[in-house]
Amino acid sequence: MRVHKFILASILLFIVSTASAQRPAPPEPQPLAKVSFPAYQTRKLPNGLTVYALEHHEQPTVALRLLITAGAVNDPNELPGVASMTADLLTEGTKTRKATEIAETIDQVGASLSAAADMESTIVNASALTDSVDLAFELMTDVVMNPTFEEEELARLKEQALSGLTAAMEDPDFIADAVFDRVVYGSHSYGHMADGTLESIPKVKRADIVKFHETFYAPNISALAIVGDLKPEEAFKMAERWFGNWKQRTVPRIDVAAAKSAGRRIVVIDKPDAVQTEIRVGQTTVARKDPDYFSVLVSSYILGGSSQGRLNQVLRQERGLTYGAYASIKPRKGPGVFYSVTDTRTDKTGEALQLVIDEIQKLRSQTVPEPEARDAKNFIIGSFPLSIELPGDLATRLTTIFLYELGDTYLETFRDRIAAVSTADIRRVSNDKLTAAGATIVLVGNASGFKSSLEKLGKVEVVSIQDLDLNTPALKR
Amino acid sequence: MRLPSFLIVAVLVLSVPGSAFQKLPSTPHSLDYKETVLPNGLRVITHEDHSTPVIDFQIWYHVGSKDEKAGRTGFAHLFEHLMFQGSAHVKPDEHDKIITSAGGTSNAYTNDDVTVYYQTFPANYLEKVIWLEADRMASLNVSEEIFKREREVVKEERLTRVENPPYGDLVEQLYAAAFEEHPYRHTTIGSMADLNAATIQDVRDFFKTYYVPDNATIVISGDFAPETALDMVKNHFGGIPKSQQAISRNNVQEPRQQKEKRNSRSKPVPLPAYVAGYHIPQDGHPDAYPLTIASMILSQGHSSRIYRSIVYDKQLAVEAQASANFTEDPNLFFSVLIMNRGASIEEGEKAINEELMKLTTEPVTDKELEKAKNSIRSDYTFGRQSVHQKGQALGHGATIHNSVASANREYDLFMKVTKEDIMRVAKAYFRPENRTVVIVNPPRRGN
Repeated sequence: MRVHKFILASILLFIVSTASAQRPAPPEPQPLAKVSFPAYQTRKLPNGLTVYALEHHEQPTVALRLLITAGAVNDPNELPGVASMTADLLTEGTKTRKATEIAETIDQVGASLSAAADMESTIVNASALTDSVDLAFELMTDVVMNPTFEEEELARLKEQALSGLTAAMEDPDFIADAVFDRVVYGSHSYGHMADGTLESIPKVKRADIVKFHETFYAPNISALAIVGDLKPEEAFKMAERWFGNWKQRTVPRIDVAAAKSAGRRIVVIDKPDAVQTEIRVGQTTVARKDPDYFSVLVSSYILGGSSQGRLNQVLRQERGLTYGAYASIKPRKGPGVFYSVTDTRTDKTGEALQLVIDEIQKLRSQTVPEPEARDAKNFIIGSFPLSIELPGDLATRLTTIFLYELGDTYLETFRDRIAAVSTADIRRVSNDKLTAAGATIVLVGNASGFKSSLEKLGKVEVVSIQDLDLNTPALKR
Repeated sequence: MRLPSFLIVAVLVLSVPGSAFQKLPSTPHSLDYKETVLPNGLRVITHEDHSTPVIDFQIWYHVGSKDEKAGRTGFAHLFEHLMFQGSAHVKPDEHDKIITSAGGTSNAYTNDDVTVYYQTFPANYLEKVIWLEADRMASLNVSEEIFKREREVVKEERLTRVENPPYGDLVEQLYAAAFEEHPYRHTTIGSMADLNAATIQDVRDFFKTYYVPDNATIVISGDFAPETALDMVKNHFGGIPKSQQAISRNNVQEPRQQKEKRNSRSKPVPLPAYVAGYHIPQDGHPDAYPLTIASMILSQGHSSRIYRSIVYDKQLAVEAQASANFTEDPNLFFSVLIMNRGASIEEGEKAINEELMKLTTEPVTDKELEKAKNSIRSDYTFGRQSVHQKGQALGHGATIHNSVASANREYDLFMKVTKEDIMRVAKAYFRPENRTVVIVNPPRRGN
């Protein structure tokens, strides 16, 4: 009844306003001109450094992004965190500048400089207004080539890292992601904690950091993207001037192809004070460079790449079980991960998990309807112009091509390759690469509130949050 | 004052061999815009930017959680969710579906003062988006069933943001303690009890009161011809009638705080945390500019005072911040600490208070002031690059300051801040009796 009156009221309201006018019909969009990725130039310096230059005049700024193809995957076994700590310490002192001087110099001109390592790369970012671009180059090269890794700075960093991690280890969202990676990759280093663990961080010595830097920081496995208000010729000249004397060296390669799914496990991390359960379901998938990546990407969008994905529609829009449910791919040079993420109140855990599993299964057993596949592809293709708006976005796109060796035509052909994915391709990759039955399931929450609802899924491992050990795929000592 | 020492840096850099060109200090471009008010009171702001074939469309409704009536905390935000659940010609969730299938993004946010709906999309979808937004302003249409389901989603949002993360409720505790009368005493997400008490009649009343053209501002930024865009807006929004009654506002004045308030409790958090709030004036107040510069000198970047002293030198905290929350009505200046393992709240509180008090007794250095201003210069450039960021700046000026021009004019107000201004505002606001402190400590171990 109420609803009826409400509709009536709004119609009346409308009629009052536009006595004779009909509401204008919904307009159809005009065709869109094809958007090209802005032209860029590439050069290789004599020391092997790949340099991308892209001129962008929107604002008087320049973004520099240096990517070194070494990250947590190159950490010594048993010592996760070395790559990350090496990157963190770059800005904490060089042969000619103390940590405080670096911060002071960069802050003084309103520029930024930061370094961080993730699983397969180390990234050093700098951005500056064009009047300070020389300074940005100077500081970036100084921290990359001449860091001193002083003991005092290492000690300080360790303390910070341990406090930060202590806090994170009480955050269900963080724990779920960390446990999921650990379990899905088993003992492969893709599964270890990129930022280190409470046990590994104290063991890292200055010598480990120095060795990592000496071994992996090399121009011949690195790329520099220069995007902004700078002519390409100027950009290359500056790259040559500042990075030209960075010495190349032979860098050991590791075999990432060995990473594969460690097999199905259902793990519950019991946190009795949690009011919600964090849910992760997924498995390993194709490498970033694999031609099937595009089909897997489209299938991940259909499952949960946006608010319109199946997971969010079923769990949020139809049932109000969660604030959000999504699926995505974590890309890797070796096998990546295809996984689903959601959270729900404790008593709905079993129901929400079953719905996620059912949706994955449906992607395997039923061909995706053509309009749904088209919408997903249009989303990926249509969002391309939005994703290249800022200099930093453009720089990221360029260094990503380098990291995964995607080739010079990648950006031009990306949208055509997405458009070419058929519903048969989606069905095929879903069958080959996704198995609801083989998926790893990680739940972080108050186990007593939902454990009985999991029994039908098979063997469930329950680990108390106090006993959780992220150093080993066993999760317990 | 600022220019000479800045030039020294530039000159030093230029003296490095091989550097071939010289540039003057870059100043931020000001945002060009056109402003039009339709006969029904709807304000329309357009900003052209043809660098990418993308448009950002925002509609700012001047209603936020401070306008909620008693017993209905969280309602403005719950209502925002319902705006995606259908109107006369648009099915539930179809608005988002149309934008998403074009590759665009569509979302909304609610804060104390405003509710903003925005979408960024390929430029050819402009009229479609205008039509969609007009339809939901003219004719929201939500069923009882959808209302109840969406309320569950919002309750999940509260669990995700506030109740499950270790420090999720710290800010809520601070506001509840710092404000006695003003509706800022509750946060935008609201309480579970009030969310449960909301009815569909509330939805109807709220829509009728606040979702009217004379309480809204449209900001369109990006790749379009302004005349064409304005015609589209007139065509689709022009017929929506203005409000028939005065738009009700909560005109509550917070009484002046007379003495320090402290609230300490034990909760299973991983590390002790401290947050203090000092009452400060509203956004746009002349003191807001020196207070912002003060917060930057205190805690922006690794060379800032608080980072340098508390995080780096004394290693007391893993997180230490001082920042102002400027809103339409007077709000709070925060200082926040999450302690390092083994460091006590007492040490942290003493250290961070020393930093705030130092601003009341010693002028900041020329170099610090110049650094903060360079940082503002940089923020005005880096923070206004995308069409969405530009739209945010213009919409904020229009709605909060009732002056679109303020989006450009405030830059000069920052540049004029002096060392004396900073000391004056520090003395005026960083006083213990103006402060509310909330502390959480983990329970003692071993029992």
